[in-house]
Amino acid sequence: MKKHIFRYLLTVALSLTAAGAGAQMKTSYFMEGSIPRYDMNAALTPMHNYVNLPLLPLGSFGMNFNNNFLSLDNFIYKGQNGKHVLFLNESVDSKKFLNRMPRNASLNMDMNYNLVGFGKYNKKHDYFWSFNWNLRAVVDVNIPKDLFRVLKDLKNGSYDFSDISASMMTYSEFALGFTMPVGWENLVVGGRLKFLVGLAQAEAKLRNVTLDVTPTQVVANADGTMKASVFGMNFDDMPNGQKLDFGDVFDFDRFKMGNGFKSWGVAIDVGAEMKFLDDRLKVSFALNDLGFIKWSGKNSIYGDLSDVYFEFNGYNLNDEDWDYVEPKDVEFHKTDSSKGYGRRLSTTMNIGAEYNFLDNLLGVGLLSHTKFSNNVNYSELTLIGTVRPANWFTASISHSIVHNKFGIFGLAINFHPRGVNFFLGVDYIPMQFGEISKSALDSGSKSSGTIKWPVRGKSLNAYIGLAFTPKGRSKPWQ
Amino acid sequence: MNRKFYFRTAVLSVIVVCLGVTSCINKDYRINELDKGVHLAPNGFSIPLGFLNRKTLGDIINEDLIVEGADGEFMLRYDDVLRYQIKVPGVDNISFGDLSSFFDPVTVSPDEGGEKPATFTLSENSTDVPLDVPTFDFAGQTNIQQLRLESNKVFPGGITPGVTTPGVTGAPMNFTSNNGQIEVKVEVPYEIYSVNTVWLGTKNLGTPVTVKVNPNGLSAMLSRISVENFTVNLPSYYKLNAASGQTGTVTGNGTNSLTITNFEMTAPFEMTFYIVSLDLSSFTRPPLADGAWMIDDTKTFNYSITSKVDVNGGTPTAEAPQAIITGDPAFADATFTTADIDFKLDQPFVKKLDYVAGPFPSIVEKFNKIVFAAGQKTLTVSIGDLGLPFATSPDVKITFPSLFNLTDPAGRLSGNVLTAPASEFVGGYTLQLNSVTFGAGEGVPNVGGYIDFADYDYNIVVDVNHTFPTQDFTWSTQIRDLEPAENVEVVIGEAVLGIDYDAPDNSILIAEVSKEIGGTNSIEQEFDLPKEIKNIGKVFIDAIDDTEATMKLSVNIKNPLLEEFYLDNLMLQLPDFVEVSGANVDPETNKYFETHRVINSAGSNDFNVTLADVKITGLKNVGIKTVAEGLVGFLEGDVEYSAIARTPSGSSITATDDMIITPKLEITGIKVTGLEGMFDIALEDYMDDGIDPISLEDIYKHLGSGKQQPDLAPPVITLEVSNPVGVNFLGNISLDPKDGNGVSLLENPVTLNSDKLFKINPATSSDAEVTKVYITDNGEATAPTGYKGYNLAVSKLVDIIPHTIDIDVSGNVNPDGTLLNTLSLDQDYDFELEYAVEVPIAFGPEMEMEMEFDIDDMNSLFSDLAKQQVKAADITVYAALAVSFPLVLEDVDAEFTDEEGGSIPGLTTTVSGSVSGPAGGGAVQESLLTIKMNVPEGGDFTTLKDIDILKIKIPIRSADTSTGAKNHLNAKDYIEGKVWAELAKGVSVDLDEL
Repeated sequence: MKKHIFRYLLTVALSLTAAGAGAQMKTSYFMEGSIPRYDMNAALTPMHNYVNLPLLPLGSFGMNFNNNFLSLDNFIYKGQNGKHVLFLNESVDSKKFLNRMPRNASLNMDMNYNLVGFGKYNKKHDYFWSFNWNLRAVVDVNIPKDLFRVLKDLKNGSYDFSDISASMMTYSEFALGFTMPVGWENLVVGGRLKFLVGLAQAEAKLRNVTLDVTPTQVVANADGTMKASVFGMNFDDMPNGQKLDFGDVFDFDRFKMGNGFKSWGVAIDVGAEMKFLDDRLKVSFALNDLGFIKWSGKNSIYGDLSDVYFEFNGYNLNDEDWDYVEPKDVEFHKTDSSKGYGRRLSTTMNIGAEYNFLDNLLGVGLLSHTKFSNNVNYSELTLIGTVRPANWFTASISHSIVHNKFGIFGLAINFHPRGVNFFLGVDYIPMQFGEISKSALDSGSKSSGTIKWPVRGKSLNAYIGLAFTPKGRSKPWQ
Repeated sequence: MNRKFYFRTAVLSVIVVCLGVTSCINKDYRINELDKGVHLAPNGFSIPLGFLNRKTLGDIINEDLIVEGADGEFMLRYDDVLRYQIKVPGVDNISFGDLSSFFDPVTVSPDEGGEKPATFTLSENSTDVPLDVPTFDFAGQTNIQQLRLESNKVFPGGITPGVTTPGVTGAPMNFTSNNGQIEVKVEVPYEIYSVNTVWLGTKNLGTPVTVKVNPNGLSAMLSRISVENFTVNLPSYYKLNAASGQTGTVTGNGTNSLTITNFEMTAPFEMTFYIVSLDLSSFTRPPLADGAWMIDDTKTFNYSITSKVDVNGGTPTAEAPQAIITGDPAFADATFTTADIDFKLDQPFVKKLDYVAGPFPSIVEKFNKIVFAAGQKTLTVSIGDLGLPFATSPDVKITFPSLFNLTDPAGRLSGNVLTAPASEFVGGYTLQLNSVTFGAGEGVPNVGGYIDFADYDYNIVVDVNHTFPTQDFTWSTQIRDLEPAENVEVVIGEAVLGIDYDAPDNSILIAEVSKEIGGTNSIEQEFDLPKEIKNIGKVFIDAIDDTEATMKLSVNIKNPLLEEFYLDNLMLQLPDFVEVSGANVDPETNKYFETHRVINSAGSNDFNVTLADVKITGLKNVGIKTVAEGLVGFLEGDVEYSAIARTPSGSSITATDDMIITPKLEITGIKVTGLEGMFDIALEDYMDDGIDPISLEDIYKHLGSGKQQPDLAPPVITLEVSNPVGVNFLGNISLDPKDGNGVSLLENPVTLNSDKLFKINPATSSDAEVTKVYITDNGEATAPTGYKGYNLAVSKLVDIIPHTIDIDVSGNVNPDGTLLNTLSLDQDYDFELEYAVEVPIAFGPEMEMEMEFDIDDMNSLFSDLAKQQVKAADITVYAALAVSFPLVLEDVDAEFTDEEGGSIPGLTTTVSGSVSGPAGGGAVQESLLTIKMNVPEGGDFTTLKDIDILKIKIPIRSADTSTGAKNHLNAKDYIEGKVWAELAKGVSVDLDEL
């Protein structure tokens, strides 16, 4: 039992780690003193040398939660008689609800936890180099729209839930960065070479998931696969081609440190910034996490979800028992250790342009952020305003205009006097909140408190960073 | 405006923005009340409730009373097996008592057929058998031809002439030793192997030998000469003795060397000694001897004389003394050893017996054997002394004719051959004569009544064939006197062979003697009978303790004329109340008859003989009468016997007294096991517990409580009566349908008319007879093979479905006197009645019934749904059913009620549609039955919280309503279908209540 608990704890820990997923703080993109923007564009170096220490608050931590369907106004409606109702209430028009649901509902979480990091300009002031050891995690979930249709508007008929998928990946990232002006100081290019050590990867894909509901029979079919690779686990002794019990597969006895470091990968970040109009206009482009991780077959296991079938026929009056066909259990199979499998990272592409006013006191920029995840691509266009009232303080405000409705703003502040660099930012600050009394949520509750929840916001993220900025020259090419 | 201003402005802006963000509450989402009711499928949907795969009625109907026929057709069937015992008491064994004096004795005299033979004696006679004994060659011929002893010689070295002998007294004067010849010569017969001792002269004294000495030159000196020693030495096989009165000292008597000292020789200087005997045993018959042989031996013997001279000697002359010894011995006696000597006759001597016996009376045809009393008759054989000088006597072998049966007390007789030494016959050798046995054709008296033994070869054969072995013999006389006997006579002693008729072993064949014997008498006997007997045709009987019932006629015979005689035409007439079987018995006439019976006394003078032992197999012609004590049966009849007692020609008469024949009749006890006849038996008297009613409660519960017009096919009642009794019965059955209160539904029970009762056949063997009865409305016409059909209006039984049907089966003896009834008494008969009442579940066109049943204990379901605020306003349950049984279920009514059966306010349940099976074998079609539930108050299940029972009422009618149609339910008929629920407005649930 003890080892099972440990195993579960490990799984949860890894999942939580993944929940943070490689956050990129879009609001910080034009904040010249901030360190987080360096993660979005390798050409956008911070103003000072910096050192991140592994423990908060002497480090940085960012997380991002994105989806395209989870918002309060999508699931709670104002009903008759002043009462609010759930989306399944008969008073909520199913067409109205379903129209709000995307064709493919997706949910993405990523996290980046900087354990160790530092960056430094060289003495000649002609390049900047950095090293970061990050713990990163990414979670992607994709839900088809018919799932909501079944909930809201169940009828006799056929439903297609194809392409339900979920994936999770955590890995340790060792990034060595280099940035330097090219040719003339109006163009700065940077790049980071990342060596990746895979910690855990799991994914499940269900294809051809259908549900047929007739008056005399309910039938569900699914066809999919599942893969998992876990740091330190060794599945070599598992027999090939045989059905394996879940408990036997994920037995912590299989964990040995010697089995670790089998999954690895590489990635690069590239970025460039071009300045025009006496540096008032800055145009930048970056590709991040362009790479892959090869997950070791020794650490991997394969789950077969093909031909999953469920059938319900009601009560069998012959046998005097309910008649149904239970879906079969996931059948695990060992992955050929000589092969393993590769997964690319969720690459992001940032394209930004900012125009500064008042001697760089104010800046207005537009950032296109696109994430190419495994299952779905996210694109956001964020309008960012930046104020730089002092050379040790910068603040930005932003609004993402693609997935979030109006009323969602981002805000970030960055104190970067010499010696320390503190950053705090959020990309998705709803302007409108719903206020839900606790008694409304739980009729049995006697509490009179309320819970505020964004009405339209679907995404959440946060970034906090605290770094030392050792004595040294400031950014030479700004 | 400087940067400080902008900085302050920026900071203020951030603060404002933050405050604005955190304080902007959308009024539309100020949620104080959240209705967590969810409404699933608001546009309605249908869900499967269940299904029934094809299920046959055989699978569904699980009533004990409903069974399948051969083709699967259903029928109500109630069957049971009644087993009870029938027993009619037995009767005591029938005993006829002592019938030993039933017939008088009969006497038969031995002279019934002729002259009684008298005592007679065989003629006396004796037989002398001269025996020629052979002689021996050596008798008178053996001789010692010569035995001579002589010596006449001068002693050498004698005296010196002219010299005076020294005057010394006692001076010796020795004579030189001298010698002579001695010869023995004997011719010995061949039969003598060796001559051993020969005594000479006078036996044991011997023959004298004279020794004379002529002094010659010493003649003048004789007076002064004395002999000091005389010694003679003969061959070693001589034995010498000195003469009686011999002076001096003698040594060597009995040896071949004799010495005499210090004696004086008498003038003319003589002395005598004796040769006593010779031992010639060292001389034996030469191996190649062929006839007489010789002993011829000559030896030299020597002698010497020593003398002394007186002192006054003389003067000898020159002539030396001379000694003369002579002897002429004569044989006194001798012993010798004979060689092997064959002593035999040239040929055996045969003596033919020449007895003459008689005269015998004419009734004697032949003697077979004459036996003599023990020790009374002897046969003596004498042989004279053979005079043989041998130590043993030769064996004589005498072979007697087989006629004689002899015993030798000395044990030397082997069969009829006697072998004994001839010396044993001297004075007579006596044998015991036990009997005389004549062979076939022998011992037959001749015309004169005599039996002449000479007519037959009755011979006595005497033979001697003896070899004397080599052996010593001593003659008591001189050998030349031996002469053995010649012509010794053998005498067969006289025998008085008188025949005594009283001697039981004597056997004489006599002529025929005959006499008719017989007698008659009557016999009567009664025995108790059980009351169930009305009349008896036949009585079955059995053995008592393994003793079978018999009627036996035996006779005691005293003084039988012969050891074996005949009873001819032996007849025993048995009474007509017995049934008999066996050899020599005619069951029709009850007469036992034998043409010829041999009676053998086996030597007894008082013996019993069974003449007839007839097995009684049963009784018949038994009368019945009632007496004060009850019912009795009685037996009456005559017994008679007759025969001709006959002594056949050639019989051997062994008695002279009258033969007494005493008949004895014996009838063993008779065990009555059963009867054939007419009886008074009612089966119901033996049914202790009666027959349980047929319970149709379960059937009634489903079909009987509502409207009833089953219009069922007529019931069929089958009976299988296993009757182990050989009695014909007439049976009846009574069926009385009753309602739940036990009240008959019919005015009278359904039962057979008294003149149409079913017949129960009797058992004809040890196995029970099975009678199969088939009863229905038209049973006579429709009875299946093996069944006897009877018509009975049984349709009335199921005009309406009763709770119970009382059933009663009875049976009495068929009064038809022409039928054969048999019954074993005191026996438990396992009577078995297997009955079945079958009602084919085949409905007629007029069938109209209602099936009512409840589905109860539903409250927990509805109360739970009510608690969860479930709402489902418009619920319709559809049942798409396909049935193949020929019934129509229509106008189904369903009602939900509370636990007490009360209605649920506002709830209406409407059933529409029907379920129709095919009529007349048509195709099965699917029927749709719709049950619509209108739940009040918008489908609020709280209004249904009291529901507990669903009462369903299903009217049923036949699918085929044409005249005469039979809608038969079959186990192969099936029902199949699917059931689903349509929730036209979906389902509402309050999440708070889950």
